Amino acid sequence: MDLNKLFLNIQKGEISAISEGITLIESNKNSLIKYKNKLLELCLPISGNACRIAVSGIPGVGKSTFINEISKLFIKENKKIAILTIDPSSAKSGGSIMGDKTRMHDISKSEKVFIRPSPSSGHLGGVNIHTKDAIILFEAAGYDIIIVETIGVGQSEFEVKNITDFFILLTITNTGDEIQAIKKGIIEITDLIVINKSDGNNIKKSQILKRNLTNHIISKNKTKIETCSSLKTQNIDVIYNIISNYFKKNIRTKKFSEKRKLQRIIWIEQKIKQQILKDFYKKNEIKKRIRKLSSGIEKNKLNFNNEINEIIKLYKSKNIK
Amino acid sequence: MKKVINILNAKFNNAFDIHQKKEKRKNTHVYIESNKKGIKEIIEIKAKCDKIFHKNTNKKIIIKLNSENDFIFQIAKIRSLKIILQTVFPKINFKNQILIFCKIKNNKKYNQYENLIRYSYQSLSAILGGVNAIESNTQENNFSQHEINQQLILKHETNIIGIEDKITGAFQIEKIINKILSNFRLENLKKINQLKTSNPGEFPFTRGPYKTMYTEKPWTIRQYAGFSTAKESNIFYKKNLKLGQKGLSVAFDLATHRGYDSDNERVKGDVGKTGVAVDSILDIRELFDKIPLNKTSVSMTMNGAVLPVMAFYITHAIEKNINISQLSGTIQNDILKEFMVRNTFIYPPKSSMRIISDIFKYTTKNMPKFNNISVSGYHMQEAGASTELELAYTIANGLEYIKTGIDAGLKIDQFAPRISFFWGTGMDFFTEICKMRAARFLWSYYIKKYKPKNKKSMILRAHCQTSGWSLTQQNPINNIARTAIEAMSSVLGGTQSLHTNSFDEAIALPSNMSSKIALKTQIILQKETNIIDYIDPFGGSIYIENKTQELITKTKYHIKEIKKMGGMVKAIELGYPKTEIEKNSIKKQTMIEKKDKIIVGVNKFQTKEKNIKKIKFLEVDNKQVLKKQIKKLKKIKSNRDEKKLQELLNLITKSCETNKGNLLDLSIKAAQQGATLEEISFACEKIFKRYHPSSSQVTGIYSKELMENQEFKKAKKLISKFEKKQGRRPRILITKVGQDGHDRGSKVIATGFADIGFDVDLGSLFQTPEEVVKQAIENDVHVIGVSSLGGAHKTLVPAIISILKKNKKEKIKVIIGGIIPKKDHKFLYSKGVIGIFGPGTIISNAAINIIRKIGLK
Repeated sequence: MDLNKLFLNIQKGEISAISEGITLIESNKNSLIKYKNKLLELCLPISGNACRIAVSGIPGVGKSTFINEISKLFIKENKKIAILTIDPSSAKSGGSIMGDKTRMHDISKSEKVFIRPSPSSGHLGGVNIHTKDAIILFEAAGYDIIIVETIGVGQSEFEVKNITDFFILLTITNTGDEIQAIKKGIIEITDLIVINKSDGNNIKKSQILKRNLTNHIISKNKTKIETCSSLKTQNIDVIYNIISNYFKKNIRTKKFSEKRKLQRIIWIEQKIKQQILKDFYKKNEIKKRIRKLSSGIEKNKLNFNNEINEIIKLYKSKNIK
Repeated sequence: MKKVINILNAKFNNAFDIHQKKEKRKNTHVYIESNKKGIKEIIEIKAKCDKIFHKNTNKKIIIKLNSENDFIFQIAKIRSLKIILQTVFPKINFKNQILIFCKIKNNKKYNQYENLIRYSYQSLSAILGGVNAIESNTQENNFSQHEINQQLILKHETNIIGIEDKITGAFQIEKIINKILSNFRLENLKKINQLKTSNPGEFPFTRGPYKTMYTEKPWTIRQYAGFSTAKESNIFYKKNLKLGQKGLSVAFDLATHRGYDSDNERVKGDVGKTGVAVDSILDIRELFDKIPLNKTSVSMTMNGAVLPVMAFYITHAIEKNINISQLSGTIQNDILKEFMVRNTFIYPPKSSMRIISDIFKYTTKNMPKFNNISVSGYHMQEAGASTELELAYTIANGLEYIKTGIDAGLKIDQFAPRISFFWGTGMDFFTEICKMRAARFLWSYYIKKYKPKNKKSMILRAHCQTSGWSLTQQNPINNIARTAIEAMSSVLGGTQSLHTNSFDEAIALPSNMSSKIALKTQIILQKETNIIDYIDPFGGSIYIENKTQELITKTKYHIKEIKKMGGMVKAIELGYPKTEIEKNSIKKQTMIEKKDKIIVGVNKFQTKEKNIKKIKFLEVDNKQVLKKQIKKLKKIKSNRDEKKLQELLNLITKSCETNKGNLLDLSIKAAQQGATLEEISFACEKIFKRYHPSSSQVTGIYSKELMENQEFKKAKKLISKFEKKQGRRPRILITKVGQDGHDRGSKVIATGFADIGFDVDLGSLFQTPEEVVKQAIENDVHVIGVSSLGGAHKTLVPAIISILKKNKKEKIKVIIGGIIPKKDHKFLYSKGVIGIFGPGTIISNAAINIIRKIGLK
């Protein structure tokens, strides 16, 4: 594998090189890990310069359509945009269907836009373990804006917050208990709440929700709240201004680069965890032991404290296979 | 007169055998036959039985009946014989001792292919009568396989076999039975009028829209024809009009449907495929050259670009000095179903309804003889909707149009009589009959609420087309029987006009020979089966009346669901009906793969086709058509007052914006100034915007149903092997190119592949080859699966491959699914395609095939 050539082509911004790079990063083949890390190593020094935006929200809230509209404004500013979407399909069915591009029809044609949907590969939560790696790659390739689309499952919002700068939570009006529906702790990490589908009969309801949300969070932090209609392209420009103002204000600050550093440390820690886990579950003796464990549970005979200690001991032993 | 009980009412065993080995029962059974027909045959058979049983009551006999052309009479004849024998010989064990066969005779004076149609009808009625076997005596060896297949189709695909008797109670059949029985001094004990039903031509019209039905005027034979240029179509129309056809039917190409002129880059591969390319008044002039529009009813299948097409048509009539109030015909204009299944729309649902409202207003005022909408269930059935969904969504669409008309200020009696319906007729013989009866009931039921004064407002008039989905690519000759059977259900359901498909439509556009056979199907029905002498002959059948009622109840439930969502436009915006239809379509596919539903030649009874090589298929030279169209476009654009035209187009745009003025009226004015289709269409698009549907995805259904299936398991196993080897699962981009919007096939494949374990990327509809390749590269897929039903594969697929090459991405492989004529295979393979999958492909097998080709031996 000619990694240097691949890297050079990525640096040039060649679409197929970037695409192959991401495939390499997403690969779950152990023999490729060293190449993967090497490629990231090459990319890292020239990365870190993009505006990273997270767009989160439950399915059906209109994330893709929203991204489609907001990206058009970035294109107008001559920015290059990378969009990473993660398919939420369950691990059970095996494969996944990724139809995001059908909802980002307008921008998917643009040469300034690179959309890469990723299968979740059984990693529940919506943020793929490789998302951060992909961000680094896109930054090395010279992309200005990176948008990560995620559905709000499990801890995904917190995970995505750790790899992005600006967090947008998309919501819609529906039954009236929208505020309760927003997960605990989310507002604290959210920079902007967007009430989407605010058109036609929904405008009034959206305004009420906006007011209620404002009252609800007013004292807590500086989270902004806006309504828009992605379908009718209404109020998108206002949201665009909020985002670009944020980056204008923050991107060159010391605080911002501190945040980036911290994020990098978290990322490295995660990589370590991942590799240890992988290594742990690869061992045949561990596998065997765990199988035995489950049969023990069935028979209701289990001294779990002992078991855990034994397994860890086994892992630490030198000759384990 | 001796009284007998109609035994057929009880459990009715009409599972029949295909009688191939004539000699098999020679030693055990005595054969009885007669050279007479009709009642005389029964008398003679009965006398012969008398003789045999007089000597020995234990004798086993086989009665071989001659087949009758009269479809209904044959049913009654066989039933009568059964009643007579059981009554006259009470001591005989009927089930063990008597077998009744029906002999289908080969008439050599007719064309062999056409004879398959006759056999279908004779066999069908014999089975409905209750014979134990059908016997055919073809001499020509290579044809006997077709006949056997035809019997297999009747047995496995039509759902006519079952324990329950489906005919008992049918008024007209019981009447004939009684007449026959009276010859034997017997009388049916059962009262015939067991069920209370309305009469044909009376509210709620369940038994038919008219009192006399076909006895006065048979249904209209209306064959839909698509030729690539206006000139060719014109020649075809004139030929048929000379032969006595009263109406003509226009199919447009996909570029026209989607509001593009032929010179638009996006439609390169679509021009002239699947129908006529219409860009301006010049094409319409050629299309209707020397055709008296005031005397010819013109049916136009157009939904998306209705404004320019209607404008050209009306403009041309005015040029010919025809008073437009004399124009008669139909425009399909059913935009709502496009959002559910066919996707040949241009604007979003609400804006599209504005156009329909304007067309209603214009035609009601100026063209009172013109049917301004044809509400279509056909495409839903083709996309995989169940009968109840097809019924419910079509009726609900109709009701939405009614609301639109009322909101536009029209009175119900002003426009409701001009609304017609369009059904697809599939292979489920009785269900299809009941569907049409239920539809008429429901329509009159809902319209009555608007308090119409004119009875015609409540009558549902229908056009039917036999199902294209039911046709198979494997053994296409089998499709002759399928179409024949479907045509019979349409007629028994009481259709007003009918299109019968050509047998090669799963392979290519219909050829001359195949369309002749398709037409002949209807001629045989009208001239040979006597079916037009009966008025709703199955009416009164307990089974049919109950089934109709059941469908009515289920449909009402679905219509209520739509109402709850706020009507059809709202439901469509939510994507609800589309998803429901897709779910059903995947269910159907799994039933085929599990062999719960048998399709002869596809998942069972596969045989080699011998005659197919002799048949020629039609091909359109897309490049020639394109050249001609571009030339004409240049001509019209160089001969007009640009400034004046621009003003008129601006008026259209303004009307879209302000919701004032009539868009059709304005479009006609623009058309008169030489506006092209795209110019008119784009004038609206400026405000309305072009609609891009979001794709709904259904997963899990396929794997749930097929968990235990061997092929499915095998495919899953191969995938995990692949994943181990490659570090990721196989990734496929499933896409449609060009303007063909039929996405049922690609959706089913996407779901199936994902459930097997592929990572599936979906492409947007209406992509260009460049856009497809961009997506494929960005997503780094192993393979691109192109679905093509519009005949554009020969231009667009090689384009994809060459763009891949340009980008040095040859390692991304390309496969095709859809309707691809066999003779194109070689060409496509030579261009680099690695797999071609036609209709009826088993998904698991296709998956296995692909995985092997992309890197797992």
